[in-house]
Amino acid sequence: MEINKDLDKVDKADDACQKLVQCTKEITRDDKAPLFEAEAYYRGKQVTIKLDDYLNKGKWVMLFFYSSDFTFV
Amino acid sequence: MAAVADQYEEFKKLGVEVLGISTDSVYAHKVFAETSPSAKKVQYPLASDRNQQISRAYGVLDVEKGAAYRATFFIDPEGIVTTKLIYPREVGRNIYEHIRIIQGLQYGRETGLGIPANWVPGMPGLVRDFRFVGRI
Repeated sequence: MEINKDLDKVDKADDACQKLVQCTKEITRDDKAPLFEAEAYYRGKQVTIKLDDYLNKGKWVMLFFYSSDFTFV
Repeated sequence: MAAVADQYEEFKKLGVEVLGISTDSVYAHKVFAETSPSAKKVQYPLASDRNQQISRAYGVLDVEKGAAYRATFFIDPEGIVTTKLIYPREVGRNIYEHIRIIQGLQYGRETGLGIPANWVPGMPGLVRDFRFVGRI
């Protein structure tokens, strides 16, 4: 049973979109996270963030989306 | 956002990198972080999803507004989305529950135990065994 569960996970990972523009599938639980690169503001600087960099460091990532700056978030 | 900033040390202790994302520009993020009393506290990066591709890929884009829903994802170090939370328009997040989910995920992976409802650290996990089906 455990083996089947793991295989299932691998299949899903292969199916997931790895390039954002080609991503037509809506991501949900147990899917591979779409990798992305984004400009970000961090401690007074403009930086480029790569999701991959965090994962390569063995980190968990909490992505939190919010609607807009300057509003109730 | 400020609520996440208040618990930032806790997330760090758990090995969690925090990233805020909206469809605003980095320029807006800068001024927001410099001027808003709540955003001034933010110690983590604010990413700009100005072309909305990230929000769309993650299925949290409000296409009419061009803005993301209030939503949180927990991604494990293998790059798998373990958790997808979408909040109502009107209600802010429960950051303590966010922390509890991470703690539960990590405890479950360390011990192989199930994490019961309302579990908090210090409470036992559940042994997942077919023999117990119908007995709990």
